[in-house]
Amino acid sequence: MNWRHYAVVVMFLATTGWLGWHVISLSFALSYSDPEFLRRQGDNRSVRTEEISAQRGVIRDRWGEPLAVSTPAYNVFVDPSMKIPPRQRWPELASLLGMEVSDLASRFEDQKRKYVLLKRRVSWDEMQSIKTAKIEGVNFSTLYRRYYPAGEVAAHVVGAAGFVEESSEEVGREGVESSFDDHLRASHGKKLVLRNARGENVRELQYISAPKEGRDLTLAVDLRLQYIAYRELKAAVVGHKAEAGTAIILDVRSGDILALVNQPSYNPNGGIPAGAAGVRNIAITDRIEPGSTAKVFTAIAGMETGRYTPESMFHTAPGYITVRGKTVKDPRNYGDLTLRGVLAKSSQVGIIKLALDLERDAVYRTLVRAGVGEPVGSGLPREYAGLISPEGLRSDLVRINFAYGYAFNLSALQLARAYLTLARSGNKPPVSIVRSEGSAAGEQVFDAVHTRTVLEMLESVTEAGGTAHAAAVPGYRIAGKTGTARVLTNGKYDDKKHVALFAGVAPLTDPQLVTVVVIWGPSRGLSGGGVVAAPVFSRIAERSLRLLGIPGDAPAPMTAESVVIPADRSST
Amino acid sequence: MSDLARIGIWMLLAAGVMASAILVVDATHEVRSLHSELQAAITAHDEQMKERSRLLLERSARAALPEVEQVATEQLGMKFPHAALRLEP
Repeated sequence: MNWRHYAVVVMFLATTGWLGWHVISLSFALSYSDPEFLRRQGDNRSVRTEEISAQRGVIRDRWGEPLAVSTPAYNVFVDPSMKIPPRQRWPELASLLGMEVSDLASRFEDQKRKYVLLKRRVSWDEMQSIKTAKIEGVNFSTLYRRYYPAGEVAAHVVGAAGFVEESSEEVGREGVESSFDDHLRASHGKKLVLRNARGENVRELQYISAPKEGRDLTLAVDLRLQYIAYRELKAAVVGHKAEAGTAIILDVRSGDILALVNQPSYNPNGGIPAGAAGVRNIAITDRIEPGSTAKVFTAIAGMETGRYTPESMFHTAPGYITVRGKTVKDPRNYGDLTLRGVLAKSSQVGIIKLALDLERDAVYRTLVRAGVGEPVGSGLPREYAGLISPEGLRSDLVRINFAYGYAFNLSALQLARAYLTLARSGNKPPVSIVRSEGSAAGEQVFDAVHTRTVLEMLESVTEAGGTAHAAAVPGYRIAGKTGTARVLTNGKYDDKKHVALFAGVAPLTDPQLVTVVVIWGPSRGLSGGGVVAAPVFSRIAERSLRLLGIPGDAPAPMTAESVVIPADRSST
Repeated sequence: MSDLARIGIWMLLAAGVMASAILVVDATHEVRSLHSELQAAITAHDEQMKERSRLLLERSARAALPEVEQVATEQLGMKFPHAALRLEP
């Protein structure tokens, strides 16, 4: 060995010794001057905060059918500061994630980052296929995504929840998802975990906060009735080329909303379409002037004076009346009509004569007692409260407008509650989208004798000769009232644009269901409530009454069809 | 203190250090095993939640009124009684 070898060995030992001395002295210096430094550096490379997922509550219909369910989903991520997947496996990973290799590579550039999201909300199956590939450095975090089995059928009741920005917690945006967000919402927990060099969790160090699961919610709606109402309403809106429609079914005993559907609708599984038609819950947000459906309240105001009965006579000839220069016409000259006839024919002249014979605020007070101008408080968000004011009552024109359903407005749900009050013998109950237990205690606002009488009068509306015989349901006695209201556009009534309405109670002998159908802007020539809305009511009511097993209260018309029970079964 | 006693104490301390070192290793091993069990339980829980959601949705799809009506009319030959029927014994 010559002197060169000795020189190399000496230099190597000197350099190693010098470096070793510095490392040791630096370690000692750090452990005295900043004892936490090394621990911090170590922790930065191995300790991570992780989320503990919690699930948003399930929304169910009144019989337990799911309307909104959270299903697990997974975020695929990498922690470049700990471990990047080996380069040779990038093409395989890119293909599993359905992305370009170059895109994948660009995400690994910044090696100081601790969280790089590769794919958001993949399904369980996708997650399993990525996991099976065992690619080092690829991690998963669990979160939940909302699924709505009834889709557009229950969209306006259930609403939708969505993620806010980068958060993994869903927040209700529409429907009960929004109004009961606090009840349904889950909050994720947090924990500190220790990871090894491969990026795998090896130990849970500390629980920072516990997860809080969302609570389930049982709604008042019956999904079966919801399907029936949606199908019939959609068919009518498409058939009449209408702009929109709504149908509501209320349970008379409890005040529960058994069905509430709108057209157009949207599929909440695809998220909430921003600014698109169909998101707004028009049954509760849109104002309508109820037209002739309000005449029943004028009739009640008349009966409350004690001077009017169903048989009181009105002379409607010659088929029109002029009040303060304004002429209001009936479709034809009905001659002499009883109060029952006035409602059956929906005579403007008859109802105006009745209103003008009452105290100035009599009809107004009746409408207010029926709930006009008072929020329903159903539990759905953005309810319209309705608008009615006594200010114009000095004017006879305002008085007569009130009498046949103009100069004030309300939502379709408010109209349904007003008819519910009639069906409950004058008792105005709370109306709820959440299932209530037992019968609702309400406020007595009308005399039961008057509401009973007015409902019996309304039966003639659905009989032959009434304005809505299309609303009849075989085997059941139906009380209902049509309405055809003109639409106020830019402060003026548009003679070509109408809202067709029907509000009905079934069965009359023992009221169980109140159904309201409103169709905006039918444009196929027919626009009256009796021809547009009443048939929808009939089909919804017929299906619903039979489905709920509510016995008929009218002799059913006999048909040629009959069922013969075979002898071997007739004895059982 | 005699040398013997001193040696005894030292040996006792050494044995204590050895025992605690072994226990630390054992405890660490147990923590890791339990953590691994926890991870497996979380995975099983996730899988069952996924199964539960899937079954809920499947039941919901099968029990949906349009589905029931389709089976009733197409497979069972049932029809909706649009007019009242007379049952004749």
